[in-house]
Amino acid sequence: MRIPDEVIKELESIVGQENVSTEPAELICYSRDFSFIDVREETLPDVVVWPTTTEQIARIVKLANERRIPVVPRGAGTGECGGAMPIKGGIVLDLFKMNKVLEINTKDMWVLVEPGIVGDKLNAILAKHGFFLPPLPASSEMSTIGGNVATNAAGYRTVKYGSFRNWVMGLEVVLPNGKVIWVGSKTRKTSSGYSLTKLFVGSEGTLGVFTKIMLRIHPLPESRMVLTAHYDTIDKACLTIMDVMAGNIFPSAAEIMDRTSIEAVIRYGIELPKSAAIVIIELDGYKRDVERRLVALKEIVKKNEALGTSIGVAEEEQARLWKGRKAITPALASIKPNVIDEDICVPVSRLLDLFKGIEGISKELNIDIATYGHAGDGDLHPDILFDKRRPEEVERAISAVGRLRELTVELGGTITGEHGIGIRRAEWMYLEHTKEEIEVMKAIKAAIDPNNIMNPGKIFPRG
Amino acid sequence: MRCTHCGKCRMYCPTFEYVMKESWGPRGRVFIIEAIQEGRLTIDKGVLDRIHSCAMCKACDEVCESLVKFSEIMKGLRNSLTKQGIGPPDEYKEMANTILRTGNALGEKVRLMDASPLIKKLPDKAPNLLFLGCVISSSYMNIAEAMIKLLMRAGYDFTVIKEGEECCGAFLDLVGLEEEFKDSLEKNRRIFSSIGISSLVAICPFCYGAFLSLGNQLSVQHSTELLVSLLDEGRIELRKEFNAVVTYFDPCHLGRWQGLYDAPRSLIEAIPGTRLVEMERSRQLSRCCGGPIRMAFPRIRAGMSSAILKSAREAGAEYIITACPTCYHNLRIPALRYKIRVCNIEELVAYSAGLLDKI
Repeated sequence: MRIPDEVIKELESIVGQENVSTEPAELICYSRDFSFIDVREETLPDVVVWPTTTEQIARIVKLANERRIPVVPRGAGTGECGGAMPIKGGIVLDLFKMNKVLEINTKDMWVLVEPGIVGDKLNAILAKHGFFLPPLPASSEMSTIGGNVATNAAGYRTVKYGSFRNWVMGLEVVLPNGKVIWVGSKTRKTSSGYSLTKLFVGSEGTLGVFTKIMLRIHPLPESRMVLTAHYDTIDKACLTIMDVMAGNIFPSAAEIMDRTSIEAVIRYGIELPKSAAIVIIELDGYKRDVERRLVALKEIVKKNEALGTSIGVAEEEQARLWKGRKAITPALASIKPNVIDEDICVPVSRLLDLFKGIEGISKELNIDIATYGHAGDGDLHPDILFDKRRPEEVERAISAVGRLRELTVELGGTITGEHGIGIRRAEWMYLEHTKEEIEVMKAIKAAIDPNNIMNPGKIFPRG
Repeated sequence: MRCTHCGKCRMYCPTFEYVMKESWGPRGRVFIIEAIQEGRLTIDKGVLDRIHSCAMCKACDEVCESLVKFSEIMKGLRNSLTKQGIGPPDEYKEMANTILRTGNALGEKVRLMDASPLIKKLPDKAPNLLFLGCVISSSYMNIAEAMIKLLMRAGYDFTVIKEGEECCGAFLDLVGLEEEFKDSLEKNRRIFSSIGISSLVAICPFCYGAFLSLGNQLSVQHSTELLVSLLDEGRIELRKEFNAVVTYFDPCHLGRWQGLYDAPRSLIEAIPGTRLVEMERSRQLSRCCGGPIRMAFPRIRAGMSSAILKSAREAGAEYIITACPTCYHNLRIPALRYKIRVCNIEELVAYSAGLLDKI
């Protein structure tokens, strides 16, 4: 699509010339995000805009709506499913400059922020007040809160504290018609009207632009402890996880690594016991309570025939035990240079079946898959490994993607636990949702965004 | 390239920190390079600006989880473009000519003989050479004098090139003029050979790095390394107190480029009364002052220097100690605005050795 010059001029009058760009060098950067090779479309936006106030965004969106120009809100562009890719052209709103912490309320325990603030930067500020934001994802060093809210992001601690949806109390949203509304409540609970907050969280930029975000915050725990255990079969590791989740352990993290990821990390240079599986469990809370739960946890681990365990109490020891899990991404490059990361999530009772199914797909398609993830949530990241210089290997990798999603749904799961639909999973929605359910979603979208300007082409299958 | 486009580098890139637009960060520059390679982008002035505004600080190399050595990719790209007659910015082409004409990157042909009365006291020949470099010889002889006084006090047998010190050419290598850099290096190699020295100590990290490549013919040290040895041997004594809270600023070309983080810190810690604090981002994660892009991208460079000064203030420091004349130059003037003072490591050590009355 082509945007008329007078619209560009109008945008410049709203945010200033230096915050509008149609330079090819800039547009090319905003045609992509962190998505993988299976997203083949690469459309340039027509213009990139860097707003810093709600008023600017309201004026921009109103203008776009009148002229039927697509608007694509963008945080740090670290999403993996193409949510920030402007596949219909139009205006990309880069919100990274809009990054202030507006208010911290420690009495009612919330913080009000602008969408462009990076998760870890917010947590560093909260720590000074004795609080933290639990659901931050693994990308929190670079991803923005706005993006996290738009995708209903989740992280290591979600197994205890829930995803972003549990932590968003309210939002200031610029609707596709340019009007600004506030949704949500400053109270701990409300039954007043439809929960628009819960609708907007995870809407992937298709219903409006978040200009202010009110988040619950949690007091930092008195203590944390990490336990790792390794096993000679994946079965025993899965049983451990299931027993932990079914007991009164309440882990604040329950992660798993399979043999392939363990071997890759060892090759990368980090010491790990060579084994079929490693679990990493974190406990947090009052010291005495953590110690008591640790006793119960050790019993579960022993019962499930762990070959060995390690416990980290001091911060450096905890960090050392997390090192292997956190090094998986770079370590996998030692197997194959390219990766597609999936995000399949099943009920915890089906965890072992999921592992077996992944193994089957890997053998059948003759493609390396390293699996690890948030086992306590039943959410695994099977990383499909390939060399993009070999076209037929690429095709096998992409086939694996589809097979993994089919497997997940067969086991009663969801095709995405935390990453979102975007472009990459849009055509797979019918695998998980009925036609009727999607019709309701589409009706809501049409009601809020009748001209379909807000991040068009995302979430909904074309059919 | 194994870049997965994860975006982590954005959080450490000094040009991205200031501009906050994707194309002015490492991931954006990767997108641009990939687009050029795949024929999706033609090289225009905007593209060249993104390519040449990278300060080659290596912060992205340091943090990249896919182990991409972006600074090498950037260097290779700049050289390849230059050979095709594309770039570098005019300011750098000028500098290459200036170096050829005057032997000094700043265009000031300096006879060290005339630059300081101390130089006259040095012998005409010695086995060890103190190399000053363009920035010091043209603008900051105070740093040179501090170092010369220290070496004299230590009884170190050295001299300088009293006439005809030639630019090391390091800057040229950064901007895609590697042939011109090789010429400068060769010129210097011949000078060193003709005056017959066995070791060289450089105050400027750029010179240090450039001459390290002559390492098999010459022993090369940075000034702080030599000062630490002299201190350890008891040839310099630091008695005078300097009662202040200071922070040390790691120059990119000493720290990330050469792995030299500890020697300057040992010196500071040896000074009585001085308390060393670290900035939030120090050592391998320290920020870049913007030196290499100062001429062509002054606004970005100013933003980069400001971020460092702000961080030093937040760390509670009254002084920033530098070990690079370019960093010293970039930080000095804006420092006034941040109510913090900039001091060079050689001057600080000379002061504590009783060789300078004040800093």
